[in-house]
Amino acid sequence: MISDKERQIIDSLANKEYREALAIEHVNTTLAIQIRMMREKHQWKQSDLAAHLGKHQETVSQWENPDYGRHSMTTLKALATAFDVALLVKFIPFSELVQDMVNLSEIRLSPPSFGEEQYLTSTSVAVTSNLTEDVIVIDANNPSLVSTLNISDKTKTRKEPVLA
Amino acid sequence: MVVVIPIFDYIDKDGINVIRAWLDQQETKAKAKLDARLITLEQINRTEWAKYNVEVLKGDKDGLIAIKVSYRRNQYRLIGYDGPNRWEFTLLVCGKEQNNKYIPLNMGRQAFERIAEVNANPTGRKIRHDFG
Repeated sequence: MISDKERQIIDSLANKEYREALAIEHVNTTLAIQIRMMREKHQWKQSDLAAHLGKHQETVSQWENPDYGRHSMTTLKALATAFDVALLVKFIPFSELVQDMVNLSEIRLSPPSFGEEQYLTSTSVAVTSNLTEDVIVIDANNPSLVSTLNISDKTKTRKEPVLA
Repeated sequence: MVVVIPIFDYIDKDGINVIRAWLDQQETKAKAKLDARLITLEQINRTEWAKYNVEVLKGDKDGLIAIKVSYRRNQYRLIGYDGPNRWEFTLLVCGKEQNNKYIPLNMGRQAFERIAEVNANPTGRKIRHDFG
């Protein structure tokens, strides 16, 4: 069932200028958040990541600013290597964009590194701090209704990647 | 602990969603950028918002929270507060920042007046944010 939020976004996509800008902004915002979340998960300071990539701390700060929006492919590839995650860049229909926009989560924004995935595959249990964190989701229609999701439970139900 | 909270819009005594009305008056690309930022913020931990250009204001706007979005040379400011209920965020007034001043100049006073209105009638003076 489609949510009100999804319906509102889909309706607004009729305007070409709007949908183009929305897609670009979604990329800019999520990239900035992902870079920061993954850096913090590794417990690196901006200066640590900068040194690792041969950049200035101020450059990393820019990458983590949702208003920046000028990440290059070269930078993204280098960041993927630094965080030991895969980088996937592809063209998608707007319907898929909407799905991505409304289904953000900590685990999707800060994906496990290869090493974390290997551990998960070998144990079938999520143990890293991010993956076992409780998520409290507030029901907008009734704030007293609070659902708590345990990300580790969700993780267990996902089809886990098979690593060579 | 991750807490993701819903965003609401202030509605005036005539039932008009003044936040949506303001957003709809903005340049299309700016509106898209503001909408996208709100969609994202609503899905990340509330305690993390400050890392992404969300600031607790001081001075005559003490305690108000500004979502700051830059587009071209415009510094957009969406002011809200954590409330009226626990784990809710309500947008109160929107404008821009120019030369370290919020425009319109009465944004702070207007925001506090609207907080009082929303707190007095939590169900009647706010509505779930309209995302587009």
